[in-house]
Amino acid sequence: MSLVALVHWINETAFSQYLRESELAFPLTEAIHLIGLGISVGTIVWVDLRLMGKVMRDVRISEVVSRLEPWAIGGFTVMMLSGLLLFLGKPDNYYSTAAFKLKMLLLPLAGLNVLVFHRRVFPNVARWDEGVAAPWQGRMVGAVSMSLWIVIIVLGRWTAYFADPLYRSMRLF
Amino acid sequence: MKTPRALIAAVVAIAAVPVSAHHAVQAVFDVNKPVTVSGSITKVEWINPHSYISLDSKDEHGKVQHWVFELAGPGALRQAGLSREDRGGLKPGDMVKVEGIAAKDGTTTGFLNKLYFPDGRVFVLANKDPYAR
Repeated sequence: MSLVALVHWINETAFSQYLRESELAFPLTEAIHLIGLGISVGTIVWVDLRLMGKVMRDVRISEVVSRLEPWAIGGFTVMMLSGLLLFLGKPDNYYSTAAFKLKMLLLPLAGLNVLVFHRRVFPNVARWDEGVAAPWQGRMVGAVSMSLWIVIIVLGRWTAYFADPLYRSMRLF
Repeated sequence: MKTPRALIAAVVAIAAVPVSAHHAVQAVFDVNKPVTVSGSITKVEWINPHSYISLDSKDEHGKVQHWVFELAGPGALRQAGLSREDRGGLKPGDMVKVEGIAAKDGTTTGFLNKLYFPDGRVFVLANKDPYAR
């Protein structure tokens, strides 16, 4: 079974139909997705900015990370589960957009960036914990994280805006 | 610095996307291109944030044209008296007449404003957007 066929099979299930037709479930899921986004990316950017030496320079980097990371993870979980539900509601429409496919490629990169941070950068935090900024690897992780999330959010809006069949001719890509 | 520039670019990009809850009807459909189509329904979709009705219509030469009309979402349709449970009583094969505005790109697609049932019922589903003409 090809991926397109699988996506279409999901699209034709009763659950998928319920989600896209519901007056309550659909907008509520959208709202929950945005709340999760606000909490996760809203905390991630402060860690990124701290690594880059832009905010809270007098607070130890490890403290910023340890205090905000649980919120970033919790928010991400909410965002991911609600995002999955949104996709299940209109899989054919979303899968037809390039923006959605690109977003699905960038999300693992954001995860990989976090992995690089925790495996390669953060273990040495004691050496630069009280510094103005992290060394270049840490600053790079922060810049990559912020850039990825900005692009992912724009692609998310793009997906929702142009997913409907009659709007396909308006897509920029 | 790389980030502030990326931030500015993102803000500009977001500002460039029309900030309606969903799409702007006027972006795709031409308010000055009214269209009336009578035909047999092929598909009814009650979808957020916009629903769709597809129909096959015969033109003056008897050639079948396939039209797809976008219309209000499930909430607005319910308020207009068309329920989601039975799709307002619409089903494939039903003959209906619809009035709306045609797509700018010249395809047989449009935005539905008025729906005529064969039994005489008429549903006005015009956009209540104060900026819509």
